[in-house]
Amino acid sequence: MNALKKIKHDPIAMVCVAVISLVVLAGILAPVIAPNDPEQVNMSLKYAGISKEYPLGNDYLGRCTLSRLIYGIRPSVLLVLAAMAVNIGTGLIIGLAAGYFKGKTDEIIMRFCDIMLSFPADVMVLAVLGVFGVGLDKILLAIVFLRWPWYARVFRTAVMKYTDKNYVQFAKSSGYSTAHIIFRDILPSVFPEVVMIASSNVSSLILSISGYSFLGLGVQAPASEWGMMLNEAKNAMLLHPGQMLPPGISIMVVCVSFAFLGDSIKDAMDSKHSIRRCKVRQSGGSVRGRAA
Amino acid sequence: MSIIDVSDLRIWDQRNDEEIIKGLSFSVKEHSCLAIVGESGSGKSMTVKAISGIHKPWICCGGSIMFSGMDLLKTDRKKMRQVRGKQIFMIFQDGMSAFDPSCTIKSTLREILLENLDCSKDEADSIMLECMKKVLLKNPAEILKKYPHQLSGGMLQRIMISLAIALQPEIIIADEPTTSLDTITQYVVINEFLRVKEQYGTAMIFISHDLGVVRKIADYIVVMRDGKMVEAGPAEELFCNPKQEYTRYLVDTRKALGENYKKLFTVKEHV
Amino acid sequence: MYENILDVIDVKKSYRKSGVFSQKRQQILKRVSFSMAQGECLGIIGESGSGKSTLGRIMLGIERPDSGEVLLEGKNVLKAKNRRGIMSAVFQDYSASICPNQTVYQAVKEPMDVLGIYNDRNTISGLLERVGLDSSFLDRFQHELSGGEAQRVCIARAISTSPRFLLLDEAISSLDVTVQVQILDLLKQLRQQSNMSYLFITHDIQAAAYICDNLIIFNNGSVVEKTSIERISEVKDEYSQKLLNAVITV
Repeated sequence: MNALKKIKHDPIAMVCVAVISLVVLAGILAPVIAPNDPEQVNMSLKYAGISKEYPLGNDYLGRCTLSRLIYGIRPSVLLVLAAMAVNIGTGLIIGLAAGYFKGKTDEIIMRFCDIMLSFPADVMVLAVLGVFGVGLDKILLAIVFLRWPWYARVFRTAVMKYTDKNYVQFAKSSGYSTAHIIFRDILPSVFPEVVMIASSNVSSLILSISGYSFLGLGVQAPASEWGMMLNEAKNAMLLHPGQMLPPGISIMVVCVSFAFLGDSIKDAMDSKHSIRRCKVRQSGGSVRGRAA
Repeated sequence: MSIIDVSDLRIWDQRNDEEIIKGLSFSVKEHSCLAIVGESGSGKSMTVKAISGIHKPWICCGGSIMFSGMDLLKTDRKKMRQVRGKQIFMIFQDGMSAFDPSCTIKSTLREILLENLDCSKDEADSIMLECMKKVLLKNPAEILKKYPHQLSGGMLQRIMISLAIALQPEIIIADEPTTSLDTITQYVVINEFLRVKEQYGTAMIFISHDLGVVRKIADYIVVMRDGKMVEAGPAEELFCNPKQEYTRYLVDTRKALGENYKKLFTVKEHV
Repeated sequence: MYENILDVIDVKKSYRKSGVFSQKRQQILKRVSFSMAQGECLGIIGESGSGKSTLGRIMLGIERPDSGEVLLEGKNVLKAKNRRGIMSAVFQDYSASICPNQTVYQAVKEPMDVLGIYNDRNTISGLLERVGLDSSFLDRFQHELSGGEAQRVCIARAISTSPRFLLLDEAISSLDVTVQVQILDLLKQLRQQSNMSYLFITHDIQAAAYICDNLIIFNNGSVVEKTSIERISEVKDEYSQKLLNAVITV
């Protein structure tokens, strides 16, 4: 596929893919690669520095920071990706239905989304947690349940941009089936925008989950999660500021990787943009702005 | 006497050193209409954008464009802004994009008149109404209250022409003003241009790819292709006796399009 | 074969003026009826706002009329399977007519793939040759084509399945006059080769006179007058005469 080839030649994209793949693999293989037990308490090693046995040192309970970081990938990254996939999937299906069929279907779906969106998402998550108790699974469920209307609305707008285009009208007039038009003509056109929105929102979702864990509402002790590790590190901020670095930098690296990767994917899928960039590069000119 | 004298105009794209206009020279005489014709991509729009100074920042120009004793290519942006509107008035192809979609016609026109003429708000309003009546727009008061999207393309072009009458510029530059209009609307707008030319004697540069329209309105024609001038001369001469092959090709193609249609009417005359 | 390729019977269409619950409706099409015989080239002349675009969409089966019906070879055009293989279209905006992610090759082969007609690179090259493009265009994207080239690709795509009916909705209006004549000549040639029926929607009477057998003058949502091209000078209606008087020739 054209787009994949372009991504392979983009150094930034390849670095991001490498970083994200490493992180995901590390999360999946946590029991194998973590040097120590993440929940093993050892008070004699409280706030210990870097050592051979504990490559990133120890936290306030003497637990291995690196192992907690690796195990923390599971709730911080993997579960977030799963929740994101469900959100995007639901939003895309409903947005496609509303944007393609328009008319009454669109009106009914959009009014339902309006009702769902009128509830402030963060407050509702807290309310759900209040009713059902704290826990990462409950946060993720609440976010999936409350956030899909936003995606549905955004994807509906993107789909509507394309349903009126002449090539879709041509497909309809030539008698193509609805499924063919949606999967062959509309989805590929909408896909770059889906990827952009997904990648920028993954970062904010990771930060959201970390935020809730930071407040103590997400993953509960003794399980590890990056936000929670930041919370624990903040208590010793003045005496041991280095404690904040491992979880903070990890969150930053993963979020930035997703953001840049999303950008590169969008460029690769948008044939016009990448070809124009190549033309200007070849002639040795500097890009001062987009052509008219 | 010439209103505008273009000498050896060269335009190139700074980003990739691509030459867009390669040494163009022509002049626009007082009270006359010069038409620039050519196919898409020949550089017609770029030429007039260079004259009015509204080209993109990475487009560079060389040569000289003399207007009212100053070289427009060497004039700074502030002075060019003063020249545009009052002395050089531009009318574009898409009437809708010339107006601010979030303001009524009245507020847009008022802003332009106050900026370019020394008058009060009330004076500007009365000038507006008077000029709109001159282009035979019915119910000008009603039109002024509307937003651009509520009016058709043809009507917006006529409002632009009425603005030209109000500002009384030295030269009107019209860039494909009738290309996106329907038959009847095109006919009405062309007649408005003709009236402005005859009644006020304003000089004009008229760009079009349609030789039919050009024949009605132009006194002189410049034919462009790939950034170069192919031929220039009085309109009638170019149509009846084109010297260059490309000009002949343009004229013949346009004649071919209308040939069938004309035949149908001459047949009737013979019957 | 069915006698008429297209029958438009008492088609009416209106839009709600504002909002879902608004009662006010704006009538766009008011009882439009006409027929097209097999192999005919019919022109519909209308200014913008006359409703010809809406009529075009209803004839293509992508919009539902309020009442009345459109029959393509006797079958209702609203059902996708009745259109497949028989009807095709070329639109005005060539830049939006080809999917930006598809190469010319992919765009032109798609209709044949949908109908299950076997094709390979040679078939597509052959089609491009018929419309005056060489095989170097196969791997280009839509934004790399000029207006005339893009419209030729659209025509190649439209005729790839050998449809019996081709609707051209202002197909040449966005092109330079020189290119317009080239495309009109191409369309004439294709029609001679295959006896397709054309429905040519335009505001340019000269272009219609170049290629059509018959004309319908359309204004304000209804058919004003019907005439053959030979008898165009005999039109009686006031609007028709106004239209003819406004034509600018060289």
